[in-house]
Amino acid sequence: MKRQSYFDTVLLVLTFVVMTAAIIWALHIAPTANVEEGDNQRIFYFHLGSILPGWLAFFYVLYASIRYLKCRDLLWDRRGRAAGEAALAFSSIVLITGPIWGKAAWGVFWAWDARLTSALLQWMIVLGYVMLRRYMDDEGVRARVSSVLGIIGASMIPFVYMANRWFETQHPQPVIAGGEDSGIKDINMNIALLLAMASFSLLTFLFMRIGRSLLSAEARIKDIEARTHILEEEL
Amino acid sequence: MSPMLRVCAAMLAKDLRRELRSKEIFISGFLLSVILLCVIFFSVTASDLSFKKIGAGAIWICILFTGTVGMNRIHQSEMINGCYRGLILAPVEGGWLYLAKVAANVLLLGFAATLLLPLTAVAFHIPVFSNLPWLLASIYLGISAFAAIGTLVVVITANTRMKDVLFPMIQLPLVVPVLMGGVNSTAMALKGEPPGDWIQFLAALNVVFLSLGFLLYEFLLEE
Amino acid sequence: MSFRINLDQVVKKFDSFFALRSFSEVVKKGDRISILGHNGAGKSTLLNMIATLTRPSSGNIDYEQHGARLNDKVQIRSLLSYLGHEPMLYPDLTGLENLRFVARLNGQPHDDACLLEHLETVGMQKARNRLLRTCSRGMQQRLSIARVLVSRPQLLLLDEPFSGLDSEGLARFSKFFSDSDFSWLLVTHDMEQAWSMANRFWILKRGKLIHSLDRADLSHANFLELAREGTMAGVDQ
Repeated sequence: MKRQSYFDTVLLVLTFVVMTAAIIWALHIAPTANVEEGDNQRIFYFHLGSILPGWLAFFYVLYASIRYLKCRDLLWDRRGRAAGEAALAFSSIVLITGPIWGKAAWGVFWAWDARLTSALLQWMIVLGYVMLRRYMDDEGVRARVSSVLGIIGASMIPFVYMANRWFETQHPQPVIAGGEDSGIKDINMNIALLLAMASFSLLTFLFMRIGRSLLSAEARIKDIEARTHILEEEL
Repeated sequence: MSPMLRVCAAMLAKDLRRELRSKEIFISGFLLSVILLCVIFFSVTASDLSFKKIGAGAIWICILFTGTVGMNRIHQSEMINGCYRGLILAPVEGGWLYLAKVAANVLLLGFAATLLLPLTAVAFHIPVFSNLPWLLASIYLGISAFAAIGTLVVVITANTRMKDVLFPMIQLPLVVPVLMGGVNSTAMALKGEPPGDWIQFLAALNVVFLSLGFLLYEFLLEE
Repeated sequence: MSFRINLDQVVKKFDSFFALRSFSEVVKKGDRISILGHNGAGKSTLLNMIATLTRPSSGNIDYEQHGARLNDKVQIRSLLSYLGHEPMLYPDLTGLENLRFVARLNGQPHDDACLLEHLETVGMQKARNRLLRTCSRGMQQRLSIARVLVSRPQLLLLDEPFSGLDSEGLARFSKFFSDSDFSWLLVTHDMEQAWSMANRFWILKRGKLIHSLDRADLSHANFLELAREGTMAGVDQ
């Protein structure tokens, strides 16, 4: 227990430090990409920075689902749920920051480009995973069935990105798609991007740990409730 | 006959016989698809687009609709009288039950698609024969991948309180890559070109999800 | 074929409620066990776990056949057959078609002659070509017994299969089970029926096994007294 809270404290401090560095770099040190977009472009660091954590979290769902089905230990179900909710949070950030940046960069909130479309589909798949749990009461059934969906959903994500990439190469949209990755020549911009990715990844990890321990605490309370019930009946 | 094939044959025979008697997939899925074709025509023409260009899209919208409604219906009728419990308790490996169910779904949906194709061809003036083998391959591979995923999701959502709403909500985002593969390869086949990459993509989807389903279905055969 | 099922400290927990607590017992060939108790005592939960429909939250259920441990779910399921209130037969198929499907699924002979024999045992051979949905509840229950016979199980798991039957149907069922050489576990509310059909009794109360009795050691009156203990759920003892 003590070792765990020591680890959590270190994680929290590290996340804080890296996040602060990321904010300073992204908002202050990195130069603006071009004159038209100006400072609006800076949201791009957090937009791109959220994509990786979203993937990491959902692939952790895949891992936790497989572990649960192998050993049926509800701890893995709780880890999967925490990871799924973190994945949903970061996929939502991608989906919200994308159009904001899109409006600044291209003048439109939505363009059916590969990245945004894939982000939308990923978001819906992760949402399905999170929503499914809310409509099942039995914890054993919920854990088992969610694990199966977690594996299917996570396995489909690579296909989503592949399909959208190909589609875009065959049917390029008239909106400027090249503006996304081009322009990252300055070293400070690279550092800002890496820091954003790192800080959000650490944050995901932190969310997953906090989420899992909250769920474990909840489970312990329910267990105590159940046992108290029995004691009450026998007295 | 090996036990697995025996089980698959028994399941297929049972599902086809039931559908022939009740015709509920045909009624709920196919006939509504015909209405859908009309709606597509009206909306496309009202937007001043040529309906001749929308052939591939129209076919796939109808397959999607028939498939979603149909698979939900098929599973619900399996749950009546506790029959699904009978399948759970059968001394059969779950994976083979899964493949049998997918095969039955593919046959039923494939049949509906086979009826829809000439209808759509006539309605939207699509050149069905410009590359018929690839056209059929794109449609049936697509239906197969669709059924591979749907057969799993329908059982997953059957365990929930709001199964009728949750099934399309969870199924549809998962099958978008299948739709992309299907629509693109169908469109290319209709232009007379070989669909190449997209057919391979559909084949990969089939391999991956049929294998996953085979491994995972056992975990869904519990209460 | 001898078999043995060992239940060791089996627990089933649903969220914040223990449906079954620390249940340890043995089932072997020749056992005809009636499981009694109030609504919600855990009877169906127990039966479902033995049937492998659901897993215990903790504890073990081990299955042995001829002294050898069965590890494979397929082997375990061929040992058992389950019968509940629902017939587990397809409404759009005839009696014969339903039985044929079950026979094929269970790897049993599915030729007409064999299936007709099963139908005859339950008195349904005349209705063999009737669609199930056109059959009455009593007829459907008879067909569901035939379904159980087809799979040739060692142990029957019966969850109140007699509910909704008239007295004639009830008498026929009771006679059938008593005369046959099946082993079974029967969940029932009917204490008289339990007494007349079973050779062992498990009495559950609020998820706990309060009595495990042998018919040979009991008088009818004793049995009724003990069985009533289990059915009085709401009264604080």
